[in-house]
Amino acid sequence: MSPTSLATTLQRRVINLGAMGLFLGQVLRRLPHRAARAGTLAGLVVAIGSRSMGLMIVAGGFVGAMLAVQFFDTLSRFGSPSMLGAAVGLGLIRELGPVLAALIVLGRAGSALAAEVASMRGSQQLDALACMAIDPLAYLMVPRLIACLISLPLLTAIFDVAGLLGGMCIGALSFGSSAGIFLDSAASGIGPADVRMGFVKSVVFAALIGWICLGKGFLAPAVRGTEDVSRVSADAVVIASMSILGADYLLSALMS
Amino acid sequence: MPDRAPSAHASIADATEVTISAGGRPIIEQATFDVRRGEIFAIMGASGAGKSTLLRTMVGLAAPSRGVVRLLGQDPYQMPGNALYALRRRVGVAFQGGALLGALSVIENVELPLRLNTRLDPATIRIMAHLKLELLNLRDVDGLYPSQLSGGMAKRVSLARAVVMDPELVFFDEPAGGLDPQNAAELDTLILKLRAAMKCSFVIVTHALDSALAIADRIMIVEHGRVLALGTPAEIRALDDARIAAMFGRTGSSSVTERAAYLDRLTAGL
Repeated sequence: MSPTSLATTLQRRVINLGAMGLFLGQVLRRLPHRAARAGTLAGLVVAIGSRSMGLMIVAGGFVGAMLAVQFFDTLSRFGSPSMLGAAVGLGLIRELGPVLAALIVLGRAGSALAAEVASMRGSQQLDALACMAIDPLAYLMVPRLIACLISLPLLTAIFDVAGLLGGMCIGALSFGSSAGIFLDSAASGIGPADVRMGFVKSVVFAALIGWICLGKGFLAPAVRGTEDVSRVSADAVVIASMSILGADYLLSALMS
Repeated sequence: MPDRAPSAHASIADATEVTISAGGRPIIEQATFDVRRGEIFAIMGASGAGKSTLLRTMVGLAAPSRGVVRLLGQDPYQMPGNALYALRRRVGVAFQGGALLGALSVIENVELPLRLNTRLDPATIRIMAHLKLELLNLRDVDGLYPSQLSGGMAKRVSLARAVVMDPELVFFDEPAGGLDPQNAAELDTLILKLRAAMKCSFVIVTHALDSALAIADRIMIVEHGRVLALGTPAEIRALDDARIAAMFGRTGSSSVTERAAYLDRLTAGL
């Protein structure tokens, strides 16, 4: 890549980042005015939740089972197989639950949000709203961002519970660990700080998904067809997934 | 209530030496014109001439690179947000593809501006939306969604939504675009009917010469981003310009008799 094209690419990325920052600022400024429209919000929460609920249960179950298999071996080496519930629970609640739930929601609902908004831009629906004296940020973006902020922590909790159940089943079926010991270990090993970390992560990831997916769709230049819509959606998913993993590291480092 | 009587002098929108550029390339250059209260003003030109870009600038969606645009006497690019929204409540815009919200039914689409911009009760809003739909010959379509509508119906629903707030000025992008001649003619009739019923002004962006000649009070022809001609249909027809003659030559019904017959068909029953 020549220095000129590198400079042009960097300049474009800085401009895009600036536009995304302004978009977030404008949406946040409108948050208080839209929070009251509960009907619309409930519908969006249900829409986002129902897209991902089944996946959360299945994926959570498998991840919990996988953690049980991995941790049982390790804990047995140190003579503490009775700590299996705590190990699985901490792994889920502090780390894997928020991250994997966020990536699943991103893949299912986030990509759909980006595609929906980009296609609304392409079909001039956003322009039409502005021309009807309706603020498209307040009418469309704010409720969707709030719905993400409500849905993801709930879905993460479902993922965590499904994971604990999956780990418990594998513990009981494969390793002869009783459900009571597993749950007791989980209850004693998981503290409020762990739950807080998982909750904070899921809220931050939800904000990232909402911001990046809605922003990429809203600011998409020249959406002329399905190819452009899918490009915007794919870009949003890639950027949001990288942001989630980066934010996960930062939050883990800050809150540990 | 503003005076909506047609006037030969009162301007409801105007552009002064407006230049619009995109990516450093001029789309519209030095356009100057005014839209008079009560008239149907047609902006005509071939595809890519810059008509729709000019419409976007006129309605306050894309600022011009140079020059001044005024809507109802105010520059939409020199106004604070609240004042701009107040101005937009007095102007209706119907987009080329309809731009109907896909998640809302027809009646919800038409009700939307009233629901979010007024304090009217839902029953009144429903009645007002029905009135506009009926004015546009749309019956039994309340529960349909935009994906279930034909192109012509989507344009009419879009027009119903644009006029539901009783605007003083309505912009309509390509009313005839993508429609067969019968549907295009029906839409022309409805524009005349709306103008008569609501006493509002229309700015129509179109490439359909027959339609512009039949319903417009004045026509502005745009070619390659420049205003080629501006005048009444009679003045435009009388212009001695090869490019305009070529436009007339391309139409199938350019004779005076045929155009008069077309206008008769449109205005029958008004």
